[in-house]
Amino acid sequence: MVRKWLVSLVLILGSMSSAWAVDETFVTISSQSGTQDTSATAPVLGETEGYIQALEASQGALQSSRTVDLSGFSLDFYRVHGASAVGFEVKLQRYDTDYLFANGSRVSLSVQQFLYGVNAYHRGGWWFPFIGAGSGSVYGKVSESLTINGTSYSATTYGQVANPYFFQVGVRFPFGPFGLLLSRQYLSATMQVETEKQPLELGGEATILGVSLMF
Amino acid sequence: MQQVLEGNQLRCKVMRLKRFLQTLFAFGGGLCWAVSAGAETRNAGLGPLEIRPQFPLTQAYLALSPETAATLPEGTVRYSYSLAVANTFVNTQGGDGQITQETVDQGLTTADFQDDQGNDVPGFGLYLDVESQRHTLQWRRGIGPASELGLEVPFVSFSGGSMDSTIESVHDLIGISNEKNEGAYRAFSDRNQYAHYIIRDGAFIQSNEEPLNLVRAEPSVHWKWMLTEGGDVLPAISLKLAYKVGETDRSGNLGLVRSGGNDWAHQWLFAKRFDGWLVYFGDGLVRLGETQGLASFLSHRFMAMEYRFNDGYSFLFQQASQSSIFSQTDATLRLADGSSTGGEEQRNANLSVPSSVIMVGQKVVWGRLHWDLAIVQDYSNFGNEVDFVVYSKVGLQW
Repeated sequence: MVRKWLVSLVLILGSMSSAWAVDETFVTISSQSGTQDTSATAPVLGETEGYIQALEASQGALQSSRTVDLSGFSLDFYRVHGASAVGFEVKLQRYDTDYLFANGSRVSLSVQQFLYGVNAYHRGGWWFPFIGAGSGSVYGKVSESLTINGTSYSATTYGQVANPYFFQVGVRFPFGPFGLLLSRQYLSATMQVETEKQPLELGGEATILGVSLMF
Repeated sequence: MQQVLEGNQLRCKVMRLKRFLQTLFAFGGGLCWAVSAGAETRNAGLGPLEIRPQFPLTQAYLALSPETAATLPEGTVRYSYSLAVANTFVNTQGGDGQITQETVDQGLTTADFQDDQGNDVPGFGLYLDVESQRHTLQWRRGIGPASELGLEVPFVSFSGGSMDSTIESVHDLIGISNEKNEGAYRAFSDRNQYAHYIIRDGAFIQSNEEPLNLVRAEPSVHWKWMLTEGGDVLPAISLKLAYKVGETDRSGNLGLVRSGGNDWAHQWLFAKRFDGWLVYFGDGLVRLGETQGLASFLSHRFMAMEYRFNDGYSFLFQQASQSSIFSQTDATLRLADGSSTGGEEQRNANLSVPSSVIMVGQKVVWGRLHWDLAIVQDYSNFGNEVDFVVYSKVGLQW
């Protein structure tokens, strides 16, 4: 029975291509900023991290917030089918932050998130709510300046999360060729930090505001 | 009773009719799928730039490249020639000037990769000054309504090349110091020299200063099957299988471009059209038959965007990520400040992490002639990736 339903679903979706009239394709460029809570685990996608916890065991409690300031831009193009639309988005986001520990040790983190994925829109007139999901690559540079048993140690490790996953919900408010963007992004990008051989979450949950230009 | 029997017979007839219609629907759907796949498909453009990884150590292995989900129409043949010129410079001992041109001129030994106390350093060390040229002859043919077969024979050259001065000038222009890690410590070495040294845990696994000239590497075959051409909602989806034949002759320098192992790979390919824009995505894995002390597999993932100015001209932007050819090691990553022991890998290049490149280029079609032109730039700045690639491909199709 399940197989029949799946076959039917595939055939129906396959035949939708000729049933839906194509209206127009829009391209949107957005400048974005927001905050990303890197201690939050993306629902379903997120993995357990252990790097910060391992350092807290040797360096004392983390004194800094794990919420970072995120900035970036995106290119989004989508094709409209009546009141709905399907599109593709590419976005580049970055942040820099320092994590300070109770004994004065510091870990500096520099992260670039190159993400891409598919969005599905509802064109509701004055607002376009959307959901989306995708992947990409996330680059992280972790610079440690630690004090261990009275001796200073330093290390810089690089990493690239080749299989990050994200999903997002959001809404666009169009004002002619301009627009406002509000979205909530859930990103799982866990980098293995080889000094501690523990994973560190570079992603998390982000709230993003943006302004956009549509053409 | 008669009415019950007639009712049962009627239900049986209806059931048989339903089964027949289901079969017809499925068969017809599949047939339409297959027939339309061979023609101009709605989620096909000119396709991504098919540039494989060019890092010198990967040249001996099978690799995947960005590729369209579409297959050639049945009976159509395309003969292609491509050339990728890749410049790579990695000096893991450049941080404190342990290896400079003077050291190279004397001939590198394992001692040049030891720490200041004369200890062998765990992990990999590289002095890699290579400009590679990979010439590839390719034959592809559509062998069914949604299926394609291909054969590739590559020829590889390693030399000092001629791009070093241009790359260093560009570094200077955009404010990257050639005396620092970001500039790969290029300033410590002469330009357009060739040296190929890879060390692991204190022992060379590759050491060579004799250039290679058009050495035939190992051939590979592929088969691509388009499962669906997709629609306005669904993307086109294809599965590609590839196999590289290992050769036993790895004498002399041949070992630099022949692994000797049988590699095989699979890759899922997706393509979606949004009017003038096309988006491609692919994910795959290569299993290496003979690792030669390196990684046992290479994972690949790419995203490509094509903008079609017209039917015969497209602009492409691509990003590709791959896992490292270097396997995980016991390299000492955290050093006491002021310590002269331990390695430099951690200060220069974490070699075993994945890397990424961006590719920008164009595709042109004039009748039967296909021409691609592109450049590739690494942006992760790790020591397991090329610095810069110039790529061109010419093909004839009929």
